[in-house]
Formats: sequence, structure tokens, C-alpha cells
Amino acid sequence: MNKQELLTLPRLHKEINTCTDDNLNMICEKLSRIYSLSFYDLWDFSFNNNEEISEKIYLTNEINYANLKKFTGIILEDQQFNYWESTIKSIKESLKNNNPIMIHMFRRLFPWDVNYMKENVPDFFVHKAMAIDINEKDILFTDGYCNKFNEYLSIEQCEKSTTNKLTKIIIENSIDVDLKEFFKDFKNNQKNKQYIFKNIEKFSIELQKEKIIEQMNKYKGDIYMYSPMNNSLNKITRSRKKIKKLLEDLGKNLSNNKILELSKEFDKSIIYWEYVNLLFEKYSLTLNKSNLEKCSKYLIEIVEIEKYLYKKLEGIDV
Amino acid sequence: MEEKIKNILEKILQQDFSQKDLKEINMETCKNWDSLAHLKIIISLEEEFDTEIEPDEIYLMKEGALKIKEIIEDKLK
Repeated sequence: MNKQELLTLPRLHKEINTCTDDNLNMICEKLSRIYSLSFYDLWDFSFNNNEEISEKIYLTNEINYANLKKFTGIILEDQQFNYWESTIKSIKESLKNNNPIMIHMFRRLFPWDVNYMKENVPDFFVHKAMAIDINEKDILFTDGYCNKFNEYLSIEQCEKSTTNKLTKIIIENSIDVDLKEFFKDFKNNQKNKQYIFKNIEKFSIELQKEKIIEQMNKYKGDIYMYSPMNNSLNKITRSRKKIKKLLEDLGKNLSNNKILELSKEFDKSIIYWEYVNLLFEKYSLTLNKSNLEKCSKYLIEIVEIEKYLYKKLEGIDV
Repeated sequence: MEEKIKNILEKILQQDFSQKDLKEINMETCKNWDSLAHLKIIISLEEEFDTEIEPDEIYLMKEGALKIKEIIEDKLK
């Protein structure tokens, strides 16, 4: 990607995207690649009986580097530095080679973030902004997540705001994905994920137990979005939205109405996951157990809905 | 009821709505009305009107203060 291409990346912010997704999605749009193909593995739900609440439910990496490389030709390389001097050196080197780079920033120290200067935003809450141009004084940010326009940030401010973590973006010149083969693989991959339904059921039962309730109660009074379980549930809900988007893109590109229909039917699962999220968040604020009871009921309904969606997927041939 | 709803919104959103009509108060016009504030509004409404608001209603209430009033009125019938 040359500098001119980088500077004219189509700015976007999609509701289903995290800040990393937005940045990568912008590059894919510019190169006419399908970003949603990297969501290949996201229809998932893992559950274990670990003691710690934060480890009970989880999702495979939301940004799967291997799938991203395979299906969009974008390679990500993380780097963590201890000092700003090394960070800025690496930023300059990357930009010199016409590679955009994601600079991880503390949200409360990033001027265009809604959480800028808000004291209650914890330090671990980082935001990734994409820099694509640099002079000796400023770095140009083209992040679509919170900036409405390309914005310059002084190098001094950047130094104050960064966590000194970088993600280099290397773009392969071309990528060849056969969408029919992709769909067949996606279908087969899902065949190996029958554990999802059992796991959601287990989670539904677990939610009624005193042990988990005690663990969750530790987060009462905390800002709900930082409690680990809410965080995981948010990711799970977003994953269903991403699968819907993947199917929508596949349906359109393969001109296949059955895939498009299935994509629309994912709304049923999404709305119920949203309800589970809401009730869970309500519980975090009120500790009223009736919210958890309702959560469990919705989870059981989700199992039936997702089983139905899986059956439908199984029946589609391309 | 309108006054009670306005009081809740003013308290949580830290904004004066005394001169505003309910239909003018929504997530777009109030910058503090984010998803966390929305849940706090819901919980306060439940306490104030002694009712339980279901997830689908919580969703609909994102439309704004007027929708909140309509739903609460409906629930109290």
C-alpha cells in the first residue's frame, strides 16, 4: 500500500467492530477484500468450571491472526517496548515502508476517545489507533473508531498516551480465496463445534448456583462493563453479529439466497444474547437474582435457536 | 408521571430538562445517555413505579423519554 492509498482509506466505524476491526476493515475495503472472512471461527462458546469467574466463559480470539492472514492477506505483528524511544523508532520504520501501524493508547489519554480524561476509566482499557503518516512533530491518525476525520497528534502527546505496544500491519500484495470452498470449510468447521450447545446449557445451570453468584457479587459497585463476565458476554454477542455479517457477505458474493436468509435468521440469536447481556448487566448493578433466573431461561432458548441455525447451515449447498 | 420520569432522567443524565418536551429527550440529544446510563434509568424507573421492565422493553426505551412514558403507562394499566 503506498502512502497515497493509506491517506485515502475509507473511514468507517461499524457497530459490530472493535477498534482493531475498524482499522483492518478500512484496509480491506480499500483493497476490495472481504474483512468478515476473518470471522471464520467465531461461532463458538467455551465454558469451563474454573473457580475464577473470568475464566468460566470465553471465546476463541476475537481477532484471529491466522484467519486474518489466510482470508484477507493482512499480517499482524505485535511488539511491546519498554521505552518510547524504541516505540517511536519502530513506528517510523514501519511507516517508512508504507505499512500502517496500530499504536495502542490508553483510552483516557487519547484525545478523541469518549473516555478522554475520565478518571474512572481503568488503565488496562486500551484503544488502538492507526497512524499512517509522520513528520518530526506529529503523527497522523486515521482511526475510524473515534475520529471523524484524520487527526494529527503531537509526538509528545502520543508519548504520554501510548502503552508502548504496537501492532504492525503488513499487507500481502494479493489474496486468493475461493468463496465456495470457504463456505464448505466453514460448514465443516462448525460440525466440530457441537459442544457449543452443551456449553451454553451448562452455563445456564451454573448461573443459578451460589458459588458463581458470590463471585459475581464482587463486582457490585464497579462499572459493569469492566466485570470479566460481562466483558465475555459482550464478546459472545458481538461474535454472533459478526457471523451474521460473514454470512451476509458470503450470500451476496455467491448470490445465494439461502445463505442470505440464514444470515437474517441470526437476528433471533443476536437479540436473545443481547437480552442475556442486559439482564446480566442489570444483575451487576442490582444483585437482584430474578435477572439471573431470566438469563438462564433465555440461554436455554438460545440453545434451541442456534441448533436450528446450525441445521439450516448444514442443509445449504453451494 | 411525566415529572417523575424527567426527575429520574435529570438525576442520572445530569442535565436540566425542565424546559424540554419528553419527545426532545433521547440518546441522540443527551450526550451522557450511554448504555450504562440507560440501565441506571431502567433500574430507577423500576424502583419509582414498582414494576419490572423486561429486556425487550429496555430496548424499546432507547428510543427516548416519550417511549419510556408510553411503556410505563402501559405497564401500570
